[in-house]
Amino acid sequence: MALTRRVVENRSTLIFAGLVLLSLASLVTEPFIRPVGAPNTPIKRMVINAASAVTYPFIVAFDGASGLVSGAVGIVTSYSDMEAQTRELREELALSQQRVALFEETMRENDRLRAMLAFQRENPRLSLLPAKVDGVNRGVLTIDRGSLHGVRESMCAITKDGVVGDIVSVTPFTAQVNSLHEADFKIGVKVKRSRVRGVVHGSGNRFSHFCELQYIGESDDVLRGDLIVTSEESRFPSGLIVGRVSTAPGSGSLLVTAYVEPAVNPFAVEEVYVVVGASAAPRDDAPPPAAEASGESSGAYAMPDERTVQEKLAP
Amino acid sequence: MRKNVLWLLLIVVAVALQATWVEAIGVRGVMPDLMLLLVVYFAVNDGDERAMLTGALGGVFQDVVTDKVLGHHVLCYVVVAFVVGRVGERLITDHPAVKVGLVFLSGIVMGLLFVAIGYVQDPGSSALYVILANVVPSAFYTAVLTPAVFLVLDRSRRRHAAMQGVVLHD
Repeated sequence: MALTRRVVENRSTLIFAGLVLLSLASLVTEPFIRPVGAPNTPIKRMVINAASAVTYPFIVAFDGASGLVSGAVGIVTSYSDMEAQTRELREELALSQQRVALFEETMRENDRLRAMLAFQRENPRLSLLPAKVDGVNRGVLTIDRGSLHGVRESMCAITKDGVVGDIVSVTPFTAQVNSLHEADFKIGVKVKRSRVRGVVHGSGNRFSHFCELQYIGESDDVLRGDLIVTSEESRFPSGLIVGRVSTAPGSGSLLVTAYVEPAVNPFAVEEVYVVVGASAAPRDDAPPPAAEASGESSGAYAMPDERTVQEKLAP
Repeated sequence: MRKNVLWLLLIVVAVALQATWVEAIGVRGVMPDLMLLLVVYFAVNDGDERAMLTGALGGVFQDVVTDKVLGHHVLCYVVVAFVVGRVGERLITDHPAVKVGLVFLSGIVMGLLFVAIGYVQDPGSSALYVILANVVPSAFYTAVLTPAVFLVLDRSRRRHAAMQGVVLHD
């Protein structure tokens, strides 16, 4: 009875002592009772099995829940990662687009330069100096060649498509070209088909690029669509394309005017040739060969009238 | 009976949490000890007997999960439970700071005992480094969680008591 009372009074101390003794016994005897080569003692194996059976469902549940939380957090973090990646890709795309645009521009420039080279080879009588157009202001082009490169005033600037204009001012490194848009520009021309001669004046108009073909007679054979080329009398090498007749000349007066659409748009030109020299071109309306001169009848047509309009009409 | 089942469930949940989620909130390998929190809680609220049984059971689970020799965690938790239970009878433990302090000191004592047992088993281990790098930071981390964990446990007890129709005296 007394013992029971003492046990009850000191229960917690007894429990403490019992648990400490059990723990110490397990710690001390474990190396001795564990079978050789085995990781655990038989008692520990039993405890492991029991503990696993009890805790396993909870561990699986918590693992699954933490997986869900990780997945949800992953969506948020991966969204910000994806946002950063998208931004990087957009920047790369913009850079690539710039490179592609540059590549395409280079290809176009290559094509233009090849065409210019081919034009140069096709016209061996012309000494051509290639020049890049730096800017265009109201029909006046600025090119990157000047007196140091051999450019002089009154030289003409052309492209493979036709006449651009003439040099009006020169500095050591640049020059200015008056184009067919400039009011001051004039050039002696002829209609390729009918050999009618005239003068083309620059349009001088920002809104209309049509030039005037002046000093043609009412009866002269000029039709819409006729090709206008430089004449032998002009300061330009002959035979270069100026443009096409867009409006046939009117009637009702002695001298009439036709309108010519220039072959070259000066606002779209990027490279030009400056004609620094030219050998004489064979006149395509030259006199017939020697057989004609000997008086033999060759059946050739009569000599064309080479006089200018003013000469024709002069008293 | 029901109270004991809930107590067992609480121990198992604490072990499962310690084995899974607590690792995620660890800082440079330093993790809080949920079982220690449970032991100190029961020591303060229910006395040393309940705390020692909690420590014994929780210690067995911890030894299994961490693959230590059976009795390693058990001895440490039981000693801490007994000491805190006896000290708790003489302390006014209502103030949160007292509870935090008790948990911190328990963590230190528990850690020292743990390292000492480990040193006896393997004298080559660097005990001082483990104490400074792990025991002290872990005790601090566990003490930081004390107010939150104790609040949750208190509310659970009150709800359970309310469901039972029992009035709890704080």
